[in-house]
Amino acid sequence: MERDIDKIISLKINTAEMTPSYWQKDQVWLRIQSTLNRRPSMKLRYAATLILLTCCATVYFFYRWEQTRVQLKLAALEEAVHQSEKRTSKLNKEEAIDNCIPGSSTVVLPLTTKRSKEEVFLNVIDTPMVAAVPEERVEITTAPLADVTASIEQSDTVVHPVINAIIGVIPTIHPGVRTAKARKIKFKLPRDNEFSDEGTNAEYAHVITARIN
Amino acid sequence: MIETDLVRSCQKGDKKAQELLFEIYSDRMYRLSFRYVRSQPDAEDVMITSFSKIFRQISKFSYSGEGSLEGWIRKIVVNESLMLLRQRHNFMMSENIDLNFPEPDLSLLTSLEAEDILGMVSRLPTGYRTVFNLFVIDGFNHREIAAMLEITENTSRSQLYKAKSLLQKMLTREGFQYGT
Repeated sequence: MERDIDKIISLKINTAEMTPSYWQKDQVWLRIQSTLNRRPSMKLRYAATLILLTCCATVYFFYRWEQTRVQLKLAALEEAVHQSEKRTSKLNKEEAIDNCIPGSSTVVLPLTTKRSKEEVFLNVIDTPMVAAVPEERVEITTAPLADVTASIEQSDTVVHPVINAIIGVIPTIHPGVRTAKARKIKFKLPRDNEFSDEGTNAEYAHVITARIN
Repeated sequence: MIETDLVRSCQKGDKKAQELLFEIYSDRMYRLSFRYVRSQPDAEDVMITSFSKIFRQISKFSYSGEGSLEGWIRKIVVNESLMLLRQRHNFMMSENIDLNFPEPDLSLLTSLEAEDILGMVSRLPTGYRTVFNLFVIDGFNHREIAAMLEITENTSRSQLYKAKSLLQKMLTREGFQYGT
């Protein structure tokens, strides 16, 4: 029943809507035509191009900046590695010299133990050593071996600040032993009992010529 | 020009065919739009947007018999009218009433002239009027109305019930119950 009423109402109204009414038909048509013919403005095109270019430039400069940053980092790393290698090599050399034991026919080289300069220096201090200022004669003050003198050979190496007059033995560096330039040599004095017990050091009893750096 | 040729010509972008199509359907579509928006400038705006859309999208339209073109155009005009209404009116209402109440009797309305009926319908509040227009005059069901207005089906039903109740009250108030 209700649906019939709805249909009647719908039919009546739809029929009534077929009759023309007054409205701005021509103006509306002109506006529809202008809407259909409207093209995207040049300003919009320029803006789109500008945005695109800006994006491209941003990406390019970011890429370049990133590349430069990475290169700088690599250079710094390379420099650090280089410095570290240098330091390691220097320490190895010093330690090799430290391990030179008098009387022994070989020199024990450390493998990879790294020691700081201070440690190395302390080690040097602990051991009896001969050191002198260049072009100066060093007095040997060891009691039992009072007559022993040492002559000094000039060299360009560093002079230790502490001067200890010690009788020592110049170890013979055998061929095949890996030592770098023998500029800096530390002497280890045999102990008294060692000296006397061995009995083979008679030839060193009087004079020992040392090359002191 | 028969309808199929008209559609084909419009699909090719023929200006003459477009003008003819506008000439044929514009008046009834204007009145259809006016029924929803109740203002001449608004109805004209709806006409501009609707016909611009029709001419742009007619290439996607497939003719499927007599009346299909008008039905397609009506749907676009109704949708554009609702779009305009949505800008000014909030349809987000959730009214639920007991639908077991007896349906208001609008049999007296059928005895009125179409212009009188439209006059009474135009006095309804926007929400009620829109649902009444969609359901009673344009033949959409509650599911479709709910989707178009983004409301629930129950809200659509209750809005229609209230619209009919108000129309019945108007008929009673104005003495139509006596058959005058």
